Amino acid sequence: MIAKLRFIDGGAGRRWIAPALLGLFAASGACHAQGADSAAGAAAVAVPDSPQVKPTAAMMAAHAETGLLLGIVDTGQHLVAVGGNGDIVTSPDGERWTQVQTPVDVTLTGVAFADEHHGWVVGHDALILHTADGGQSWSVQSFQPDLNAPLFSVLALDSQRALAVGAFGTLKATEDGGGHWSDVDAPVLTKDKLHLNAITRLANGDLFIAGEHGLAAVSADGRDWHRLSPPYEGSFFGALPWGNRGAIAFGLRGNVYVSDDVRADHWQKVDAHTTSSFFGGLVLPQGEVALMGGDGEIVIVDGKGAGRVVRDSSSGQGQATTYAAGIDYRNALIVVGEGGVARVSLK
Amino acid sequence: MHGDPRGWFSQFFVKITEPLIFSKRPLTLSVIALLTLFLGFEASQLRLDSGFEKQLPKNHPYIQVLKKYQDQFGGGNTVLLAVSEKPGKGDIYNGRFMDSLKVATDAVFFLPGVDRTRISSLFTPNVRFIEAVEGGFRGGNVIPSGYQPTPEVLQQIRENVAKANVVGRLVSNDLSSAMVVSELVDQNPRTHQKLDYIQAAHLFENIRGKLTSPELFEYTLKADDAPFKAGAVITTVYQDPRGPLFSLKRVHATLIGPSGETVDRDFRGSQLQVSQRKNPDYNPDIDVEVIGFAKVIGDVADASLQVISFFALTVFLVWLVLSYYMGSFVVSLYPLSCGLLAVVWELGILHLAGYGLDPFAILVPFLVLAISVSHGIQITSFWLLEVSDRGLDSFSASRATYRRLVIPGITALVTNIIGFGTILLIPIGIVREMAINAMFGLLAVIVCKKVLLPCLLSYVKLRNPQRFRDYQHRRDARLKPIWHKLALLTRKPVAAVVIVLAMLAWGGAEWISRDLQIGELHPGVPALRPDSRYNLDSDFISKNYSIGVDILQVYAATKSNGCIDYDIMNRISRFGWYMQNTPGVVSTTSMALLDKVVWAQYNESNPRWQQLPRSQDGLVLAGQQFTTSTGLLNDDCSVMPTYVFMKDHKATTIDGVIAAIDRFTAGGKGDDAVTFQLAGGNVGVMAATNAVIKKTEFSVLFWLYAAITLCVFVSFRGFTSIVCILVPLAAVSVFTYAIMVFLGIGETVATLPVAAFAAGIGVDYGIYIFSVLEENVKSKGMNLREAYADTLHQTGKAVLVTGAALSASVATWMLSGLQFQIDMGILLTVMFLANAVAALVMLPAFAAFLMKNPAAAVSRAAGINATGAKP
Repeated sequence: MIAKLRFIDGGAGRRWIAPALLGLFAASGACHAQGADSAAGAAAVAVPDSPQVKPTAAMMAAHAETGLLLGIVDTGQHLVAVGGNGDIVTSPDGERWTQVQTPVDVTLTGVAFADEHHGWVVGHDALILHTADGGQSWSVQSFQPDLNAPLFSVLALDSQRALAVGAFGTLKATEDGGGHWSDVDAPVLTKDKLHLNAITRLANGDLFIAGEHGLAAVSADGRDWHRLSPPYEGSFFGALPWGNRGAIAFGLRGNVYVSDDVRADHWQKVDAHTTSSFFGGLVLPQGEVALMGGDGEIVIVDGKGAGRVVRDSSSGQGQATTYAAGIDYRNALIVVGEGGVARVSLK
Repeated sequence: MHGDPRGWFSQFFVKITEPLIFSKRPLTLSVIALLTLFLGFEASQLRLDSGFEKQLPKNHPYIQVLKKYQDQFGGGNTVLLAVSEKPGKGDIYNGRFMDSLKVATDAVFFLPGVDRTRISSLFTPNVRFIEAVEGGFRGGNVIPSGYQPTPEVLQQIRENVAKANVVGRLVSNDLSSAMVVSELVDQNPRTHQKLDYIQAAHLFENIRGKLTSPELFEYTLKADDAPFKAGAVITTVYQDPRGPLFSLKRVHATLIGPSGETVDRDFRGSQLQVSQRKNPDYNPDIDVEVIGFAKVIGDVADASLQVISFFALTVFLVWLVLSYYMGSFVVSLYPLSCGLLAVVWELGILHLAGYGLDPFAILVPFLVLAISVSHGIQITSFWLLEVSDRGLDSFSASRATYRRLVIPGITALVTNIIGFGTILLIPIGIVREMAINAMFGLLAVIVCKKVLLPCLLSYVKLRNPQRFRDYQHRRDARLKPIWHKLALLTRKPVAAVVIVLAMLAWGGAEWISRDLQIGELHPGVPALRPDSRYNLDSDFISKNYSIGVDILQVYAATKSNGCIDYDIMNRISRFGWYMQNTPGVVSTTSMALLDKVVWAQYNESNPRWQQLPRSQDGLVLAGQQFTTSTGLLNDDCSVMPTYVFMKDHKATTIDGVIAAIDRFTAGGKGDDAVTFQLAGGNVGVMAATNAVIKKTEFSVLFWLYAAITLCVFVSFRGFTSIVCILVPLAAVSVFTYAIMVFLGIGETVATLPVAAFAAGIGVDYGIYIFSVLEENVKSKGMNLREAYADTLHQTGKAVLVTGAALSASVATWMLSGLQFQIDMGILLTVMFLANAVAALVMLPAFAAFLMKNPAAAVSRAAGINATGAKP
């Protein structure tokens, strides 16, 4: 009898999308730049509270693997995935997931392991977490909310050396297993404050960074960086090794570029048959590359640089989801994104 | 021991009132007739009153929180109309479907009461796709301008729909259905009248017909009716309205006058010509589903009115039962018409007292009829006995009846009134109103039955008393062996077996009824049947869209401008994530959670930006989209609800979720910057209602039985009477709980009062049987078996027939379209019958052990030892 009251608030609850999107559109083209500017400006304003903002520990959730997940690796021992609310989850088989305790509740954006035991996770508030026990326990090596600069990607060279990149030209490195993280003095990368969205190691050992405004840069040692001419003016959200000296960089609206030799500074556009953005990818055993991103799209780029869609927005049931990363595991892709973990067969 | 039920007061009362009523019968009848005229007029003024505020347990803290905040958040008045391809007909991307969706969108747009700026469907310009592109955003209408249903355009729409992020909201998850979402305005901006929900519901129903009915029916004016010319189209409907009463029907229409003004006008059916045509908008491949608050109110109101039509059926059934019993279709009209008079009086008093008729109150007239008929049977039955067995004339028989039955009758009615009064303990307006209403009804019954009926019976001229007597004797002779067998129950061994069996059954029922659930058990809107059109639609939409219909709102209250404070927003966000991981929760949403999504959208929709910005500027930017009409924040951003979408609204689910919330809030310190306050949404109201029922259930039953015990004790002054009358009553109520478990009926606002009604009325059987039995034993000195056989001869058939009449009067509720009326109908039918059987079987069994026959005691004592004979 009573229940009929206000039940339709469901409509009200969900109505946010229309106004939100309308508002977004009204803000229009300048919006992106504005967002970046004001966030950058806010760094100067500083956090109103005391500068000693303490991180809050993540909540232990019954189903953390169903929340936002942005990075996943196979340590050789087990899988480790990281994401929203400071969640880190591990799985021995890609099916059963267990959350581990973390000292922070901010969004974690990337994960990398040097070996079975040593690994790093990066996230918002210039956060860097470290583990020496294969991901069972994590300690904070960097937490600087005042910077207002999230980190997006971490690359572990070995158990002592690692690099992390993030928003507004943030580039950090450690030589001592994370005892000290220092800002890398590389004005060529940092002076125009572009977002550095991903860092990877190419097959020949060179390091490669991709970012905003088609930013691409290469370095032999991680200190001395060479900026490449941007293949296009949009953002790259990720990069992977391609051939011996090359890289594949991917980003906004299905833009994918490959270069057989990055130092030759020549890029070739890949037709990915989609206008969805790519936020993650992985190298498959036969030298193909799988890319994943908005609307739940997955595209495979073969060794010759030809793309084919293996999963598009109409493949899934329910609302379109965004994938952020994936690994090749036991003859299937395990992808993570807004809806948590999903297994996608490539057959 | 006080053996005589007719104490000094009773005799005094009868001595005063009997001459008052019977000496000047025409005067008595005229007074009653005048009163009836007056109250009948009052009753005719009663209006259907769907005051939904009354359904809230308004003192419960959840409801106080709800009332405090509900006005600060916009929109509760959404109506969702889904147009769906029938199963197997493919997806929505075909020209025919798009045409139907466009027709539906336009039809909703032109409905009076709909806020035209807030309609969204694929065809409205406010639904756009937006994509992040190099250097900013790009967007457009989902359906391109100059739409033509070519394969290319349909393919483009398919892509735009994916980009617009409307799947799950405006397009179903399997892409076979699309929605027109509209919002009703509470006040008509033109006429300033409050929104007529029932009319709005009917208009939406008409849109359903527009798309799914092969035929249409057009009303045109037969003759000029200024400013409209003959032949002007008044309105179009999709169900054949023509029938014998069409010319009496009133048709309301909103029309555009010749000078462009809007005219609201009622037309008489006789003014209108109905023409039937093929419906050009008919699409055989689609279904239409409509849900929304207004539609619920409309459907409930329609179903309530439908129940009124059952009243005629009820009266007919009761008349049949009475006629069988009395052997005369004419004599039975006396108690029946007195019952109807009581109903008229009840409704009249109700209006006099300033109440309206709501779906709960509609049931009370049925109950009043039932109760008054039950008393009418006792009176008529006694009167018949006097006429047929003792051969008295009508007048003397009436007086004898009055003398004999006025006191037990009034006792029983007072017991009823007190029983109903205990329902007042349930602090929910609608239930209290029902109790008050029923009490008015009982007052009416006292006058109509105790005064009017004997008075009327005194005028009855039996045309052939001998034949009438023969009928009575024949029927009594048929029943006599049964009564004789039943009287065996008074023998101690048989009685012992009956008592043991009854106690075993009681224990079993008690064990089963531990599973009795509090609250609503069925999915959908509990007021309507699970298989009602509305609940089927609601089920379809919640299954095929990502739209929940079971919602709990938790209000995060904080300082003003709390939405630009990272710590506060982070706490709300943590709460959302916590709830998301709570069993029974499907999903959650709140401003804090959506800020993250918007922040990522600002950053090229990169999911790695899904984080609350720490800076005030960032929070301002992320939150500026959200106006108060989103329901996500109030004016000064000091209250932000979290919407918890739940998998169902069963009490166990609700309890689990509430307990989880309590654990979360207990984790915070008392001086928290944010407090999480319960509760809004339909689930919040249910949680409060369930808590109230749980809390008051015991006290209602306790005071109910205490009151009945007191009344029985006052009437009979003995422990024996209490056991004999109350134990069967209590046993039946426990059996009923077991039946509720079997039938999947929960203990709700509707079913809790049933216990009180059934016990309050059921006690009558016991009182009548016991009073005659005790008199036979104590005053007439019969032995128990003989006394019980005689009791059954006098009242037993009346009890059975009463049970049948009572059941007949409530059984028709099972045909109702309202689920709570069905539940009440089932339970009351069962309890009325079970109480009759329990009284006939269990009462004598207890009497066998407890009731002493003074004469027998004397003789037995004398026979054994001649010592200590008790007086």
